[in-house]
Amino acid sequence: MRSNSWWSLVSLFTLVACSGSPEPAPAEPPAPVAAETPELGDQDPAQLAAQADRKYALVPSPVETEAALTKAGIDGKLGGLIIVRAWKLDEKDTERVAVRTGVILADTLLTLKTAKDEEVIAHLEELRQGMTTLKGGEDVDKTLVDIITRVKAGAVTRDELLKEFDQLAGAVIPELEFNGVSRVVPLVQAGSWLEAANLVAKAAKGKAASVSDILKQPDVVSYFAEFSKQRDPSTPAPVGAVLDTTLASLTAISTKTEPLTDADLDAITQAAEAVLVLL
Amino acid sequence: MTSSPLALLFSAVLVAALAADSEAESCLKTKVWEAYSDGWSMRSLAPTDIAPGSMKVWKVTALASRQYKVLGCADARVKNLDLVVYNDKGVVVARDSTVDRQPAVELTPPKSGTYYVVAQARTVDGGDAPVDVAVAVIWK
Repeated sequence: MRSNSWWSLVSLFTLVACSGSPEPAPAEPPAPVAAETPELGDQDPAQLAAQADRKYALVPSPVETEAALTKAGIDGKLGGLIIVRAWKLDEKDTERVAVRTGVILADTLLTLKTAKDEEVIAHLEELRQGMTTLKGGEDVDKTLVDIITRVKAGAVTRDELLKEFDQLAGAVIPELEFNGVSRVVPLVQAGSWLEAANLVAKAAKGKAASVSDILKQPDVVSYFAEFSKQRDPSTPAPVGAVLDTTLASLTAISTKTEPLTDADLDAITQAAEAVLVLL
Repeated sequence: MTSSPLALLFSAVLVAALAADSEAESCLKTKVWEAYSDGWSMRSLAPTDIAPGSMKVWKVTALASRQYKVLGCADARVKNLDLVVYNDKGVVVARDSTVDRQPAVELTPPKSGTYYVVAQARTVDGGDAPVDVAVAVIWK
């Protein structure tokens, strides 16, 4: 062993002596410099519309809508106008369960800061049931169970809860697959928006013009109408027909060029309630 | 309250959830949660991937009485992520001015209506594979 080491050392010296001064190591090739794409300018709006994702940011949240209402000078406590409805959330009809779940999500958000713990928990259990029926998956169920546990233990503030619900509505639910049924996300969002629009229309009676900007959202309504038309065969015909009529009525109101009137607000309330009582 | 066992458990769950997110998504969630302390609330948070040089578009309804901010985060291969906001006529109404991978742009809409948020991975190292990007819309 010792002899081998010695000969290795001699060989190394010999190699160095024979090779003269060592060659400099080849220089590393310069790191590729990423080319910069030119800055975007104005775009064809039709192209933008064709490429746009609408699942995440198109629909204002109920709390955002409520804040806009307050800014418009109207008492914005929409939670006090909510009608408590006893809904079944374990039916096979995807359309109804999705819209109901959306309404419950809106009601939860709008009452989160003031509701008693039992009321919040009841809403959360309803959401769990809706998400389970819609095949939202284990992760969202675990999230809801975790929130329920913390509410029961008094281990979460309402501000923190609101934050988590914003995340649930604006990031988690749009990302869910719902067993490949792409209509579920827009229908849940439609339920939330319909509930908020209904409550805004009730709250703004006598001051219709000041909420025109809040309620006239033709792109939002057409997004819902597009997915609503892809009807599930399990949807009872009367529900489908009323949903179509309601969305047609909301489309007509949304596309009015003049400010809204009290008659428009009545029409929104009637159209929304027509769907909500059938759910 | 924050030191209760349940709160600690939640923190652990949250950390695990964040660990499952992409680098871009984790970065953006941190930014959004920080923004809550300044009175902002979240409308949406969308993770996506974008090919270098390409763009991704989101349609957004903005209400006239509110302020909006669009936040973005991209993975480490991105040297410059741009955010641009267009009105419904396709005209640029706001764009970020920084050369980085965590841009932000503010919008105070003069009227309620439809806007488009565009994220473009303008400068990307390391080939043509798509990069992870996340974009959030927050309001107050």
